[in-house]
Amino acid sequence: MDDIEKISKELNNLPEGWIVMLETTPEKMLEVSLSTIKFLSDEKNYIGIIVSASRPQKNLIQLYKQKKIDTKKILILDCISKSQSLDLEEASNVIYLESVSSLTNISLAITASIQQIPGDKFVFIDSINSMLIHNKPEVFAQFIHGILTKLRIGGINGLLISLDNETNKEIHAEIAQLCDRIVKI
Amino acid sequence: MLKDETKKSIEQAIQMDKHGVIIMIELPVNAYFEMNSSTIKLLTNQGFEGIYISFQRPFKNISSFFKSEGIDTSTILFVDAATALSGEQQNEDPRCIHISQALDIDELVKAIYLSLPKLKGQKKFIFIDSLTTISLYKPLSQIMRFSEFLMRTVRKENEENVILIFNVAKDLTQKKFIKDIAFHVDQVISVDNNG
Amino acid sequence: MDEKKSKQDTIFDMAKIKAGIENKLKGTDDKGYSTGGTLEQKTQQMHETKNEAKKGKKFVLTGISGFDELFENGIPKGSNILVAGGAGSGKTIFCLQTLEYHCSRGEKCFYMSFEESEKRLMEHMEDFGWNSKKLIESGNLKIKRYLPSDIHYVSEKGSDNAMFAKEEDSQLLQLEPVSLEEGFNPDFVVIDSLTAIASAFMGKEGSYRFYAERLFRFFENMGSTNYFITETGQMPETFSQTGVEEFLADGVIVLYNIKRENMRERAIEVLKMRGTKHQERIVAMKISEKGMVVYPKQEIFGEIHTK
Repeated sequence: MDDIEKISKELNNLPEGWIVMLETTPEKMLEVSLSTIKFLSDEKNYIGIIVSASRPQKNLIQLYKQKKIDTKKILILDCISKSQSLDLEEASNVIYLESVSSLTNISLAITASIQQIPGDKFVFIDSINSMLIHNKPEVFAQFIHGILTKLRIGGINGLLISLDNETNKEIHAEIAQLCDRIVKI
Repeated sequence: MLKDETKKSIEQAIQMDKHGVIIMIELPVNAYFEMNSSTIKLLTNQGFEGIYISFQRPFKNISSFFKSEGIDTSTILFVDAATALSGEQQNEDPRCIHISQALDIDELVKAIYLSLPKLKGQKKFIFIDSLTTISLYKPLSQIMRFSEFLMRTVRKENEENVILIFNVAKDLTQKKFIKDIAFHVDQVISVDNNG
Repeated sequence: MDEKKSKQDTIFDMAKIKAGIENKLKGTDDKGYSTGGTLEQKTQQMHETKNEAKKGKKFVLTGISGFDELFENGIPKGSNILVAGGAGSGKTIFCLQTLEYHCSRGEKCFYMSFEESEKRLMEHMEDFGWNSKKLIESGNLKIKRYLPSDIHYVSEKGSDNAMFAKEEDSQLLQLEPVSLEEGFNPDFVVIDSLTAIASAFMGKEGSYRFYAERLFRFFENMGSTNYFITETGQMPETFSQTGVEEFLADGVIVLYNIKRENMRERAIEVLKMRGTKHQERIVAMKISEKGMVVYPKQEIFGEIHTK
């Protein structure tokens, strides 16, 4: 079974309001992210709220277009561009947040996004490892717990992506135990 | 799903000829909650009524999952500390006690103390999920005080047969405070990736 | 799938959604309150609650988006409240915004400034779109600057410089710590700040403590609801100069400006408020172009205190 088939099979088998952690290798991470987003937005017709701590929106939009992902169904919460003093070009599906370490602000943005976007949606945190570079592990675990609880109460689907074996074991366990499923690609 | 071997270990533990049994169940993080709910199913199928204290997931999510697994939730009182921690609105439900956002340990203790007599059955359990999650928010001294309260409660001379279960992710069992608690339990059951 | 797809398409306009999200984040959403409803609706609701309040107690609101939701009913009318925080944490904005809310509703407000000039304070208000000139002309708002030399005990016969008065002098109990314009009985008063007053006493802590106590009693007897600004460190663990102010105050509101790597994150909490239930959490706060916005459901991630 190839990676895309595995992702679709796992996500298709879950009841609505699922929270899944994707674990993969550095080499596959980008492809896994893109394939998952494509599956959820094209096949499942979900609106995606992408919390990007790994790549600025400009790069992401390019990659989505290359992958033929409908960017009209994606809202990017860009945590990188502002803190890196990159060009903050106006885009209807991008909100620039202060930085990856501004967890309160990110939480507010996710909450506001969930409230404003109608219909079926998913929140994708990309990635655990990128966010841990900028945040203390225990604080980050609190943040994830808070976000996942909000998602559960709202019946909203959630995805987290992390690097296999690269994450602090204890924090990985704290976060993983909150998920409905761990999918290793 | 739990393997037969694991189920047997849990059954043996809960049937221990001892007043106030305390068990720690170590679970792999893969399918953590599924195995949690398998434990609850085992207990409720054996006629236990219980209090499920959740720091991890909100009541809404747990009860819908339990119902989908065929667990009789009418025999369980839930204490939802997770919703409080997230600051979200809490919907009223007769089976669920909501804790205030301050997540005062004393309030939690009071909630459990008041809930126990409401369980009418002969066999009772208190299920904690999980101490490591609440330790993200509260000082360890309060976590230890809470654990000690629970252990004292189930081992009280005049208290009816109550089983206390601490649920811990396997990768977190090396935390010092978990080791300290494990030292005081009657049995540690370790579940592998296959249940 | 096609039906579902077309349903998603017809109700979905990402640009509009993005604008809605950004308004919420900036606090420029007219709805403002996280529980929905306009400010007017919320005010009406809380006033109704106020009327039904137990023991005939009356409560007041601040009008600050999200902040009033931290209370069960509001702030008990006639309270003395410390507004504590470090430099740039938003204490002045908090107080000005509260006064603007009440002045706009025909209530009388008085801003006693021992720090900034009247002109400066009016400019602060204009920055947020609050028409300070109009409020002053209506007679609802008075802003007056005081100098340290103005700190006197006053009576009909004259005045004594408070800094030089001996605190043991029982005759001071017959005098008032401040004089207000005759006929002007404010409903709300801001004293900005106790720190400036304390520094004017030049090491005479005893005299300052006595004066502060008299000041609290004076405003308590006047029946106004009073906000006393006090400067603290950025991560305060004490909320007043001498500690006696916290003891005297009915309420303490703390504003934080928390350092996160190379950024600052704002937060607010109601540390204490006698006579009403309130949320006991530090929650997120922002200062937008329309003023202060509090997010009562949003906790702060990360350490607040230095210890």
